[in-house]
Amino acid sequence: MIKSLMERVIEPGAITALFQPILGISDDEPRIVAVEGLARGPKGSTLESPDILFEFARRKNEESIVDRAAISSILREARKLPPDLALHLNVHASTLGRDGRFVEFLRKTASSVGIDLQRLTLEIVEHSNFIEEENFLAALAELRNSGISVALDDVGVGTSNFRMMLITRQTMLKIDRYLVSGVSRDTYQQATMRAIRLLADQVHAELVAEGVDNQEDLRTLRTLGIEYAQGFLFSRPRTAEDLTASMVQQSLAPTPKVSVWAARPNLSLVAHAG
Amino acid sequence: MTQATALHAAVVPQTEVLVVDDDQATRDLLRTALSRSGCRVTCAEELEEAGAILEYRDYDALCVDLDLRGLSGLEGLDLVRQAHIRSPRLNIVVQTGNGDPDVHRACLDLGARAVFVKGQPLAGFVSLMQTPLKEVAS
Repeated sequence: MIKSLMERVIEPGAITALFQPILGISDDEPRIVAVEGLARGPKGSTLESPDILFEFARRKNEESIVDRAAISSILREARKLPPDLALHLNVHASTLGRDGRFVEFLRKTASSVGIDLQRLTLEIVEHSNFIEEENFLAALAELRNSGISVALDDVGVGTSNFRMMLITRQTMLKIDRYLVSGVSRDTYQQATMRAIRLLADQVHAELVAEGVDNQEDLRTLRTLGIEYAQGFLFSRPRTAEDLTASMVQQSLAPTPKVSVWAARPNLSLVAHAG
Repeated sequence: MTQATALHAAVVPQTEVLVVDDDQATRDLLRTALSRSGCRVTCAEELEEAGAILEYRDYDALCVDLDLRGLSGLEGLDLVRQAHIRSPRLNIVVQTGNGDPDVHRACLDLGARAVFVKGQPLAGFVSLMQTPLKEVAS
C-alpha cells in the first residue's frame, strides 16, 4: 500500500537535523552558549524546507506527530555534539496543549540517547490561537519540574505574543528575525527592540536575537543591550559533526574563554564571529 | 532540453508552476510536458502540501486537480480560493474529470482562470499555464 506523505515524513530517518549556534554577544568576542536543533524534511522533497514542513504539519493538524519526529531526529544527532552543550528544541504550543504525553516522550527520548534534561531548552512556537490553556500550563509545569528550560520563540511576530508572554511567563525571549534583520538602519526597528528590552527587564527575561547576518546589526544589538544572538553572521545551520569539528578546532585557540550562559556554567567552547 | 529550449530558458524568465495532483503518473506527465515548454515545475501530492508551499513560495501558475482521492472537490476549490486571495495575479487552472458546468462556474468564480477537462490535448493546457493573466483577452 502506498504510504501517505505524512507517513513518509515521520518515518525514522526522513527528517534530518542541523544545528545552529546561539552566542553570547555581551563581550567583544561572541561565544557559543548553546545550539538550536533545526529539522529538515525529506531530502529532495518540497518539505525539505522547515517552513513548508511545519506549515504542512499545521494544515494537517498533526503538529504533535511532526514535532515528535523532529525532536527524535535532533536528539539522536545531538549525541555527536560536545557533551554538556545546551540544546534548544522547537515545539508548537498546540503540541503542548493537545499531546498529553509529549513531556513524557521528551524525557524518555532524551534519556534513551543519554542527553541530560538540564541541557534542554524548549522553544515554544505559536501559529494559532490555541485554546487548551489548562493542558498547556500543565505541560509547562511538567517541563520545568523535569529541569527543562522554556523559551518563547518568534517574539514580535506570530499570533498572540503578548498573550503568550502573559500565559507562559518565560525567562527567555527569542526575537524574530523580522525585527532583527536590518535593525542597524531602521529607527522603527530599534525603537521596537528597545520596547522589548524594557519589557524583558521588567520580567527578568533574557533576549536572543535571531537572524543576525551582518556586523552592523550585531553592533546595534549590543548597543541595545541584547545578550544573545544567532544567525548567518556566526554560522549557517550545520550538521552535528561539522559544528563539533569547528568548535573543537576553536577550543584549541591559545586563550579559550568560558561561556557566560547563565544556566550552563560547564561549557568552555569558543566561537568567532564572521 | 533542446539547444533552442535552453537558449529560450536562458533569456526568458521561466514560468514557475506548481502542480497539485495525487497521481504520480499524472504528476510525471505534467512535469514533463511543462518542463519541455520551459516551465520550472514543482509538484505537490496533497492540498495541504500545496497550501504550505504557497505560503512560502511565489509561483506564476498553479494547476489543481479537483478530483483528489478521498476528497469531495470542495477542498480543492478552497485551495483555489485561498491562492487567488493571496495572489490575485496567480494563473490558476483547475483540472477535473467533472463536466458539470456548475462546478466549472464555481472554479471560475473563486479565482481560477480556466477549467481543463481531463482527456483534452495537453498542448492547450500547457499554453494556458504559460500565458500570464495580463495577456488573456478579455
